[in-house]
Amino acid sequence: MSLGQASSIVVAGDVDAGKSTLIARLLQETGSLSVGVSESVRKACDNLGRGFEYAYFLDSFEEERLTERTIDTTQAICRLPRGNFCVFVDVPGHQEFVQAMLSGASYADSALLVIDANQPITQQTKRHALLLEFIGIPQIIVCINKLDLCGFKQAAFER
Amino acid sequence: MNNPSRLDILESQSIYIIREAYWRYKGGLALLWSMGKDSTAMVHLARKAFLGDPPISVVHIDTGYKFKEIYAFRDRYAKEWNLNLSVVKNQDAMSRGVSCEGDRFSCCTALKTEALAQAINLYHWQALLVAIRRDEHTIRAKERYFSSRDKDSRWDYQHQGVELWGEYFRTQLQPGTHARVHPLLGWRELDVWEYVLREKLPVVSLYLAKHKQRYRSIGCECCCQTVSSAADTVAKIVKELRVTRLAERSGRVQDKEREYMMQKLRSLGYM
Repeated sequence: MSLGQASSIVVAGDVDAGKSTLIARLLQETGSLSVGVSESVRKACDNLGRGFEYAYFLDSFEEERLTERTIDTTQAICRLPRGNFCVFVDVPGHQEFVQAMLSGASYADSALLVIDANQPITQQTKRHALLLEFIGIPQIIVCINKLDLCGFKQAAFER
Repeated sequence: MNNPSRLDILESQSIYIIREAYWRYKGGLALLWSMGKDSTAMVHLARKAFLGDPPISVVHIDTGYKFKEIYAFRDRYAKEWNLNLSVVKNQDAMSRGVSCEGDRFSCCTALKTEALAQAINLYHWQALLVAIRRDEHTIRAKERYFSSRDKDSRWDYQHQGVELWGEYFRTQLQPGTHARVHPLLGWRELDVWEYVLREKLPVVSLYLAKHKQRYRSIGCECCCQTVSSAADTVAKIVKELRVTRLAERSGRVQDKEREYMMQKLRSLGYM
């Protein structure tokens, strides 16, 4: 079942690759975050004594925020120019929650596979790539994340 | 149909889910109608799914605190559309005078969640059609189309099942449990209003601006606030929603009384 005319993109990859954070950041850059929701996220971060966490826009469960990892899949609408939009599907990276990853990914028609530049390519990353293929997603865009943490070195990207 | 529009696709998906739920649960299926725009659109979809005469009970959970316009709307269209309407109330809590003056969490739990749980036991409903949408709240965004509740109506949100391609729903129920079915889960607020406009559906007048104020989300009178708006027709609402940055439920007090309010309400069986 597709989601109407809008394309939907699942953001997959290993735990802590920065999937939820990446989506929330894209939502912010496109002006897709509503005012009331931003306030509630800011409040939640203050109460936990943490700096602003973009991931909380998607990780709405208290348990997800406390453990800083996505437990269940969710979807968010990203506004695009001329009244168009796309849907981002966030999924958990942890292997324990692979059933939620499958559920979320099955609603997508393309995928971003997020990889932490500071880590070797993990078994879980490869597993997600395999599952995306199994689900029937023909197109996977690889996204090398956290390049700032390794000083934007070309070598890290190429590794 | 050559090029189905987004609304055509959403409509046919929702009708598919409603029919799928009826096929699975038959007379054990009920539809929650709050007279808000979303559940009124869902009543319309159920009527379309069954040629104007849905074999589904329609349920209003009445807290006694709804706006008078909402009650008038309910009575008018229940009659006009010939709905099989049940009004359910937590009589015990109402006679104890439970209200949002005290604590909103307890009020919502007693007058909505518990009222519904009592009715499920009384009428032996196996499944409820609920018009929640992902884009109205980040906790609701975590839902499935078919979502099971235990015998105490609790939502085990940390262990939700697999739901693949929007086709393989988990409809099997353990004895004493029930399912929540969400046909409008993928609709946006804007989609609902465009659908209201296209299908010429009636809406409660509170949604339309009067003196530059309107309600974007309606429920109990004590827990809803207006937003500034000049949209006094459905067409103007559609136009307004294309540009607004304000959250839909920003006027709903019960979501915000304390942190994780919606998660806590919903884990106990709130819609």
